[in-house]
Amino acid sequence: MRSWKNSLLLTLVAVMALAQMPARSGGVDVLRVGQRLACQCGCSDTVATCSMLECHFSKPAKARIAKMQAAGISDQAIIDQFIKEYGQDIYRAEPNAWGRVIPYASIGFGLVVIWMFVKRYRKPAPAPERGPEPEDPALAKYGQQIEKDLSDLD
Amino acid sequence: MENLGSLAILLALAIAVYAAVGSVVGRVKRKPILILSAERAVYAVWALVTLASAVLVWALMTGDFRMAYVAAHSNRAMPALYKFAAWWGGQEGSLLFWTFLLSSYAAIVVFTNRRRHRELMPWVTGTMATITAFFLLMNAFVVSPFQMLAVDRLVTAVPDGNGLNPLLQYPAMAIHPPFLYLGYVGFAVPFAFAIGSLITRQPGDAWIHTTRRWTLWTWLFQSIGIFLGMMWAYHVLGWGGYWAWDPVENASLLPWLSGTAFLHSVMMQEKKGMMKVWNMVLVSATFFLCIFGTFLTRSGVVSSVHAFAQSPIGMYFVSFLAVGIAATVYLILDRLDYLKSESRLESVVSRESSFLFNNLILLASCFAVLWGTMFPVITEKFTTERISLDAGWFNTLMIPIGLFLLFLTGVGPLFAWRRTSVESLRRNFQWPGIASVVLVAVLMAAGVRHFYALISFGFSLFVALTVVAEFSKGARSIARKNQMNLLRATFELTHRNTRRYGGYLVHMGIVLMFVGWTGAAFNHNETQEVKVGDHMSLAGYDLRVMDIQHGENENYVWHRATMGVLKEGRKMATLHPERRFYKSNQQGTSEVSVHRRFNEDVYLNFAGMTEDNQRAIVQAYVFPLVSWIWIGGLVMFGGTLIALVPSKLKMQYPRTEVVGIAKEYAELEK
Repeated sequence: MRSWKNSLLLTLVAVMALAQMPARSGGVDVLRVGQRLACQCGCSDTVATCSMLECHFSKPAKARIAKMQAAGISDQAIIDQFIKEYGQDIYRAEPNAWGRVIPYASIGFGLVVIWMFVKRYRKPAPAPERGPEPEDPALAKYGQQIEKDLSDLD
Repeated sequence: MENLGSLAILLALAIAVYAAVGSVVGRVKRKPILILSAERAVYAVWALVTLASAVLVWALMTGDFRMAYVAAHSNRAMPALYKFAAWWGGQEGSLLFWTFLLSSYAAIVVFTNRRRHRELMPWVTGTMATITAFFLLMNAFVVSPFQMLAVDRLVTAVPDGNGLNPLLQYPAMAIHPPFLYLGYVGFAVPFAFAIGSLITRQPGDAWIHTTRRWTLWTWLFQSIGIFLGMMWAYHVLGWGGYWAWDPVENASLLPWLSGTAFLHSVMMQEKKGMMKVWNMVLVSATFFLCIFGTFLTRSGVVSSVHAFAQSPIGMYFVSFLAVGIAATVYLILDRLDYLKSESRLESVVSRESSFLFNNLILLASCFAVLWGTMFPVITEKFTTERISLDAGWFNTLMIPIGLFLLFLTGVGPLFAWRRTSVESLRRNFQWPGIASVVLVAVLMAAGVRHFYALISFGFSLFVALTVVAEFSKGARSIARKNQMNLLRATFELTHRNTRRYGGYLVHMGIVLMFVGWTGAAFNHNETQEVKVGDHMSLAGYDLRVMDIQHGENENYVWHRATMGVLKEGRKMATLHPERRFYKSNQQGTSEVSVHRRFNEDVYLNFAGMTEDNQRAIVQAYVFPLVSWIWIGGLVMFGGTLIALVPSKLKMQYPRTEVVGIAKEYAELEK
């Protein structure tokens, strides 16, 4: 019964994982370049991700990137063109892995702290009550010998 | 008038310093008269800060444009409400507003504790007066709200002011900052009591009992502040959503997360005498995160759409934070012996352990948000490269953490204190678990393929059912015993333990908010240039442009579209998205128009006119389930208010074994 339930759960998780469809849109090339350019509307996003309804910069910039890409200009050349026009400040480098690793590492660190806390503050399990120890035959034999010798002494 | 305001601030600063020094010296030298005098000084500080605030508000309301702050943040055309709201609309005024709230809190704390906690109070007064003095120092010498406009040493005035930032001219915005500040500033009270408890080496948890309601009120204010900010972003700021992981938004979320962790872990101290050091750390971290949030918003260290005012106050805040954190860390380390746990964990499968995990995840969220906010600054310092972490980056990181937290929200309260049996776990989890799996299967069969959305809906149902089951079990038992109907029994149950059942309602509110957030996975949007008679289609809706009008009043010029919303040929609503252009500061804003429904919002934004002025640019959005965020928020606030009502029954929880420094007290009592 339990294995049937586990299999059902596993299948469900597997199906859900498979159901993940990569969200690729037609503008993926534009977004790739847009991610390297800071939006100039005052938000903290890039041209690719700015979702300000009032944004005067990201939408024309995306259209311009698409046009330049269609004309066969390379990504780097497009970025260089924007830097030339808006200054070096517009360039946004790709975030390195530390950005994602550190928060998850903090969870790992937290788990270690919890483990240490539990280890330190867990009430020790009561020791099982000790009954009479089972007699060792060899010991019993020596015991009988001692008893016999003592009685012989008498 | 301006001289009166400046004088009031200077006097308040001098008296706040006196209050801080007087209360400490009075306590150390055992001079009650000095302690009393310091407490009276706290009232005097409040009176003087109130006077300074009244002077500023008067200048804003009457349009005294000789004052730089009034000229920058008010104008003649603004409605009275926004003239008043200009008090906190800019740097100088908002810091004065902060000081006003802080001095008001300090006065209330001193008054309500005038006959209680006499050992603790001098240190509480001293701590709060020190914080007040820091802010008064800022008000007096760094960012004075009473600076005059002067040319060649002659005070002069402009004919009219710039006016409040148009984005702030929105009713929710008039009350969003006060609520947020009530939350930010309010954490100074539990912090001051914690410091007092540390200094007086009180091993017990008197400070926790005293500040529980303060903390809950403060948390409620901050929650409302964040909630109003989300509503404002949704309706005004114009990024088509309610949360964009902007640094200033993050700054408000950080102390909220650590404060939420504190509200949970404090129960461990109250019921089991455990996690005393941790609670000290959490309450201090929450307070310092509030100060850090103000620093982040005002210093310009990170770029943000709503860092409305920036000035060189950063160094002062960094110094205050450094000294405050160093002193707190020293005190905690020095008093470790007095903060030892009074009991032990009996089992890993228990409520105690669930609190540990809850704290871990809340703190991990807090750290992840802090890290993401500061990571671009850190990267630039170390690599000289500039990076941007957008909402997508935060979502990738925070969604799994948030979902795990949602799961814990359902699981945690079902564990019993001390230990939980496997049978009890099976009994509590079986039906909610099965129902959640069935819901996920049904959603998949209906074509939902978004992984996180499926998980979120599944967990939401699980938590909701566990909460309903908890209410139902208790209420049915009371109804049976006391022969009452189920509704009355539910009220009776809640009244018997308001904290527990109020807490469950807060959890239910969180669930509803998660349902609303999950809806974002299915958003639709479309932008079109349209003229009268045109229509656009979006997610099954037919949007018809019925009219486009324009006009002006003394504050702004406006363009407004009248659009019919139809679904399957049936008219659902008429919406009026509007574009405004404010004359005084030459800034444009949008007044979006929203057709609300429980299942989805139709959201229209008038983005402007085309260059030839012939067609309107309309952005149409369909936001599924978004209303549940606002409903969830209201449920959460209701639950918090219930938790603030005293319970009918006093709950006693036995501590399993008294250890550490408290053992001596326990043995003496025996």
